Amino acid sequence: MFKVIIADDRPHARLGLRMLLSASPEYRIVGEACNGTEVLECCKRLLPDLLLTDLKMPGLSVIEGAERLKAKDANMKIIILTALDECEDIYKAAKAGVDGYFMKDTDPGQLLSAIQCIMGGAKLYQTKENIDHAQDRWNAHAGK
Amino acid sequence: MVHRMQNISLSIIWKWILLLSCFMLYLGSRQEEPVQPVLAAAGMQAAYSIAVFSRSSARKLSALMFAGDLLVQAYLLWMTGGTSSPFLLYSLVSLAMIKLHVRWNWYYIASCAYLSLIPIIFAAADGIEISIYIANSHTYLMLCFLFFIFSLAVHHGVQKITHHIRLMTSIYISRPLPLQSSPSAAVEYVERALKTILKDRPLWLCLNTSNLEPEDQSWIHAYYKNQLMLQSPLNHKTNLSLVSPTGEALDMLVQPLRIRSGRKYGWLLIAAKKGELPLFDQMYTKLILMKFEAYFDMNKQVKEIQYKAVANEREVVAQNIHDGIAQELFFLSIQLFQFKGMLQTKSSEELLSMVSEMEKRVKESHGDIRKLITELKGEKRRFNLNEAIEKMLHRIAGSAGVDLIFENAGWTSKENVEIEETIYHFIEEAANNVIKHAQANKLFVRLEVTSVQWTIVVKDDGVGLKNNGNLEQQGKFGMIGMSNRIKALEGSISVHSDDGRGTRITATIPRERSLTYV
Repeated sequence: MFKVIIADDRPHARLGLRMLLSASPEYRIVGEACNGTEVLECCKRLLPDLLLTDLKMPGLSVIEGAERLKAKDANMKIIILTALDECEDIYKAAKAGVDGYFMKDTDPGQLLSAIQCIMGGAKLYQTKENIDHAQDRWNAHAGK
Repeated sequence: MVHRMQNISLSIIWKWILLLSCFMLYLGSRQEEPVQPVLAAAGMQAAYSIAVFSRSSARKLSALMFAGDLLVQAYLLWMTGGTSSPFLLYSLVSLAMIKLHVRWNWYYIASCAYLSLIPIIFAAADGIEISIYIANSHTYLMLCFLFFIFSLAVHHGVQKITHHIRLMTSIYISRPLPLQSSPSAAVEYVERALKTILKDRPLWLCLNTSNLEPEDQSWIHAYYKNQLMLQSPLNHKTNLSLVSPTGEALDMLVQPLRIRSGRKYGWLLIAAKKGELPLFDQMYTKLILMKFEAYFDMNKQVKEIQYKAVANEREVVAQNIHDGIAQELFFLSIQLFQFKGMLQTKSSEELLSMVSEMEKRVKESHGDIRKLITELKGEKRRFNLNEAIEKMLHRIAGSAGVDLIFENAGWTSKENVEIEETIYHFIEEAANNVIKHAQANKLFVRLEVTSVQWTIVVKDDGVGLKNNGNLEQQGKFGMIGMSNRIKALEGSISVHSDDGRGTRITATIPRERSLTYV
């Protein structure tokens, strides 16, 4: 059973994620947050296994928050869900140590299996191109 | 009117001074001579002065007084020694004042008549033959000659000055360049104005700004511009020999154009040999160019503001879509996903296919919306490569106190965004490496584009790479990543370095599509 925190400034989006995860018994939603600062507080208090968060929220920048959270607890998985399609953000997110980056129009079924993969230790970043290509670009950019 | 009054008052004061000094001279030389004619002349001049200064009197009256004054002066000359009278100079100055009442042609006629009548009348009155009388009046002839030379000189000077003042006024009050019209319209306008001033001399105003579209320039402008870009950069007005499109060598005066911040934006080419252009023409050219520069500056600012306004508006729209419809669709897609899951266990095939169809539609709209948001937001990312690179380099070099030399050569209207991004990031990475590792004093960046490829050179005078830039060393500096990106665009990258003699990284990227002038 994984403890999950959902963060999004739109109540509808949080509700959607809650519905999506509640279908799978291995996830238990322990908290919700609606801005960057709340995300940090929630994570400090509830120590989740997974943080599922929107990219653009009021308050502290999510990428900066992710970097801090990862520095404290590298085992905590962080997945960013966004409606924006900006390559730069993926690079930044990957540099910050985020484990997954998906568009919100990803098929919910695929999203669930992707989350499962990430909980198993994978790192997945999705752009408008396919995931493999994104990984290549990231590697190229980071010079790894 | 006030101007004319000032002139007249000034000349009247002069006349009084002259009359007095001539009178002194007269008294000094011939004590026993009568002073009545001098008093008469003084009286007449006083009357004339009053006629001029009392503003209520008509112009005709003062002109009449003036004529009377001249007659009295003739009498004065006659009484004080004829053509060798000490009052001759005074009389000539008075004569010159006719100009205040008449036009130039009348001035010449009247003064000629007056000056030739005087010796004729004097000779007749003395009963001497005219030719003998004139032959004896050396001083008189000499003064008359000087009088006409002086008159001609003043006449010519006044005409010249008036001409220049007119030109300058016409430049000053000429129609302001309409903002936002295409650069070609402004260029045409300025060229026409310059041609008027420079008497139809062939000239071209070639712009070299990065945001120029091909249709903004005629082919001949583009032709000369490309030729000038191959030359070493000009900083001052220079005489060059350029090849015309028909192959002839043309002597040109090339003037680099700059906006107020000092950045060059083009050249003015005037077909002229060295020293052929008169100084005044050069000044007027400068004046007109100043006007064009002001237009250019203003237009740039207006465009920037306009661009920002549009970008802001698009950002707002994108944000609204992102916050609203996109989230709803996200929610809807999850609901459908769950609904489908429930149906799969309980319900019929038909219902399931219907839900699948709905799911597909939602997914499609979701994709469309995402594309729309990206497109709207992407507008702000469309940038000018040269400017962006220059800004970035100044920032990097400025913060590290390294001298920067940035050159760019060649011209392209449009480029693939991916290539632009790669070039930008490559230069950024390379420049950062120089700052961090090279201990350099100078950073040299050259960006050159031809119809077939981009060439980027980043050079420094720092410590250099120990292994002549092998991959391991490059890898340390994150260059492998850049190298991969450049290779993905079918480009190549080479690093050359001698220990202690700086590093030179050269990258070439082929262009996707060629669009340049020959």
